Amino acid sequence: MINIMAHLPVLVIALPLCGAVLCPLVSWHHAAAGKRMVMTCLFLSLVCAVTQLAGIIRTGEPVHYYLGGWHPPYGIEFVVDGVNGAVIVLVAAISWMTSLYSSPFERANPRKWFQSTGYYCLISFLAVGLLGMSTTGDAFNLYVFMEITAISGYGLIAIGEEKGPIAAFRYLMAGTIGASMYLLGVGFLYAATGTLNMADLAAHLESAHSGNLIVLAAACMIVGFGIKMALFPLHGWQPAAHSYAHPSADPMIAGIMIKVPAYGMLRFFYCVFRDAGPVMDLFFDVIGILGICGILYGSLKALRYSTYNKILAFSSIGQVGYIAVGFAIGNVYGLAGAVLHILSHAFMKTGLFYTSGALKYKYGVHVTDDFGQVYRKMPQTSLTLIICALSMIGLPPFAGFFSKWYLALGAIQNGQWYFVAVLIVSSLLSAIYFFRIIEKLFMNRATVAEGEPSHGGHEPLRKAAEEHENFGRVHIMARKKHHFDGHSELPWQMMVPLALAALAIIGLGLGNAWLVGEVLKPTLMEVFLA
Amino acid sequence: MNDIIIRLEVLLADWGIYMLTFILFAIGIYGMIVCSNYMKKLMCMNIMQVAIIFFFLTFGQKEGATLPVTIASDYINAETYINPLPHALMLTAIVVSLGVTGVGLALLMKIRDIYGTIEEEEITGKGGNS
Repeated sequence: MINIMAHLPVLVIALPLCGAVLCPLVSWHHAAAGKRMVMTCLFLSLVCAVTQLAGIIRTGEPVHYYLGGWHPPYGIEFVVDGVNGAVIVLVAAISWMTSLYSSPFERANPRKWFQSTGYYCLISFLAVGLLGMSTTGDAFNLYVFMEITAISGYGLIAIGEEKGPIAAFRYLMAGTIGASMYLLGVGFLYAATGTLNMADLAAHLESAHSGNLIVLAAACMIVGFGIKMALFPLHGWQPAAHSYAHPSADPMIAGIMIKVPAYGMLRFFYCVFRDAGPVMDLFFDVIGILGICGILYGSLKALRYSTYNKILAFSSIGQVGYIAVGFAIGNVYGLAGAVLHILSHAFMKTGLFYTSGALKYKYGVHVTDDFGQVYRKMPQTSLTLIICALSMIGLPPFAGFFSKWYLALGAIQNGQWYFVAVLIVSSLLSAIYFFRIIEKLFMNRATVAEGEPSHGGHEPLRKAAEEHENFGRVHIMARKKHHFDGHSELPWQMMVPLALAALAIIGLGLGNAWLVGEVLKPTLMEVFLA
Repeated sequence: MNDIIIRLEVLLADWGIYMLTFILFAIGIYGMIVCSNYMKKLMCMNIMQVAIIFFFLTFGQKEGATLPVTIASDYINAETYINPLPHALMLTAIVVSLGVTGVGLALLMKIRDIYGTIEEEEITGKGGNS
């Protein structure tokens, strides 16, 4: 009898991997079987992740898993502690929710066998890559998982709207430069120390003499992770990729694909470079300045757009800036704020993109001017949108407030008042663009929400489609006859993720004291700031 | 003449080879930024990846060393083995780079289907920007 509990760290990753590989084979026999298998695998992975985190909280000890029984520094090691345990739960939860959310899109837009199974394969591989990136304790292994994430991401962006392939190609260029810079950094570190295990690297860097080489490696890492997490001057690929990705995969791409590299940066700089001489001082300066610029740039740029997805994409650049500022503050409150912001912003952005996908699915609208009176037809979607938006602005009962609160506490403790000023200014800016959306939702004259779309209410839609030529495929998707009963505003597969995202934001907000006090703070004190 | 060759060898072994690899890397990045043809961008991306592979293989070298093969679990002159790890890592990196290139080519075919061209200026002219 194998002890399953001992193998949880690898099961979390192996289950979606099995799902991804077996999905085409299974669906060859029965069309929907592959899809269900991917969902089941992702759900089991979520169960494993939650069990693992519960175990870590109970024992207070990080879990080390040696693949193939090879002990570090020779073998690959998986390390799970409180911080990345929480990130793993986040990734598994959003992956499962997104796989559930995707199935009505497929019914509305019946695709061939290959396309439908391919989609679920890619979702599952994306989950594998992200889970692997947050679990692994080996620098080169992280590169491999980073590329798994990236390649499945390119696919999911390319099958989206009409401009998808261009956005995916641009992301492929930028993403490959990012991964290559990371690999170069790993090469420098390996040349300097002769090891690839992160804990071992940290021990060797303490006594390393080649200071310049390590600074160079750190610079490569900042560029590499910076491109992957869309940090301010390296964000060029992000708005197009997040706007034009497949509407049902977009929540996952926008929500967690830029958060996990941010976690990777935290792990690398606070666990590996921590004692490596001048690196950390440079890191604080660089990342602080980039973070501030990113916050202001993203918020100001989001004001200029009226396309819903574009607003969300630019606001993501600003929110990544918050995480970077948290790293730059660098005390326990700053880091707790950064990790809490990784968690809460992932749920907020995923929730917002769920509403964006739902609006596209039902009415084919994607410009905020057309949102008028939608709340009458889609009350629950609108409720999720409002909860997410208020949380993004940072209003108290929701998660977004508390991550900003911890960031501000950390900045005040360090006497860095300029960070507090930037936090306040950018919260006001995001209040402007989110209240603008909410205002349009309630105040604008109804355009598309008039009449049921399935009963010939397509005239405004078609007009909108002529005005916006890139409307193309989504419009066709919205025009397909809906196969769900008319009682609920959306199929239940879409309602459940929408509700879960909203509940997660409220839950993270109300439970933040427990999460920070019991889970994040002990790990941060022991592992990251020891 | 012989003297020059020896000095050149010393220079290359010391830091010249890293300089050459860096130039290759810079050519790759430069081409990715400057070229307006997407196919050329993809080729420059490959040049950049090859430069990184060279870099790893170069610092894995050791003069007068031999293959790291054990015969009957007997480590003969283990200090003269070259480090096999960079080679193993680069084997993985080559596979990854192959995969990325494949995805890139597939995307280019799709872009050509939609826009009829893979020149950046023409696509931007047709509203493919941002």
